[in-house]
Amino acid sequence: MPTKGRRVYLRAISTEDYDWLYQLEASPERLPWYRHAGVSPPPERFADSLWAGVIAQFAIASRATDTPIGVVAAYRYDARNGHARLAGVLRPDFERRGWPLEGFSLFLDYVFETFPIRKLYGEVAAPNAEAFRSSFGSTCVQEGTLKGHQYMMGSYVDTHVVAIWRETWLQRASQRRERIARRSSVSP
Amino acid sequence: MTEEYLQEARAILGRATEVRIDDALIADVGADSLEVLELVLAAEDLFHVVFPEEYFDELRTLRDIVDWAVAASDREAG
Repeated sequence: MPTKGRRVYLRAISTEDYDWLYQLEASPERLPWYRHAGVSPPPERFADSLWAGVIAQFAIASRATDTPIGVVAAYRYDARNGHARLAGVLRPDFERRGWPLEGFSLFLDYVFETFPIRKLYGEVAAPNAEAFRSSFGSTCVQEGTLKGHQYMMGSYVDTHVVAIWRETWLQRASQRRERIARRSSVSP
Repeated sequence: MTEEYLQEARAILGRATEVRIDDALIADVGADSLEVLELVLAAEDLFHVVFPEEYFDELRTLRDIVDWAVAASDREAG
């Protein structure tokens, strides 16, 4: 399965990545919204927290520059019921630019083709959901809303619980492959 | 091929009213980051080109996407 997209690729995280990952996850801008829920992780224990409950985790890197631009992970795998949680974060200068999202797509391909996971859950603060609201109702199913769940930019905002179902994702990937194959048979 | 792309772009955007080629994708159409990525991927598939990452910061309209894709495709064709 491809772990390389057109502008990004997924690569293993090494101990050399811990510094930028710590700066990213423990920064005042990211700390409240990502895995540590606002509580600063001690640097000497950061590696443990980075891998706690994780079944797959990769750095997303730019193909043009080899620069790591973010991290994506599946964790809290429930093998009995076939679901896990999805988490990911981009460095601030790569947010809302469109192309880094391809890294999440590659990761979903990897997870659904590697593990017998029926669905992946994610939580997203309502203001942050704007970047991919078009996927709500198609790729992502909004399964619930935690009202006033997070303090953000001066007020308590809702948190959406979204799910990506295996069948939906694989069907979407298959449709895309068919579309590309159709076009390849048409001369440009 | 431009018309074929516009049809596909409109299908990706799925808006009730027809999106015009010079509509600002974010300001007028309300496209989100994922839709912009899908629009570029569709153009890449159709025109057999790859948009550089920095170009994403510059594109505003479907015409921007088509113009860049056509020019890049012509360059590759020599």
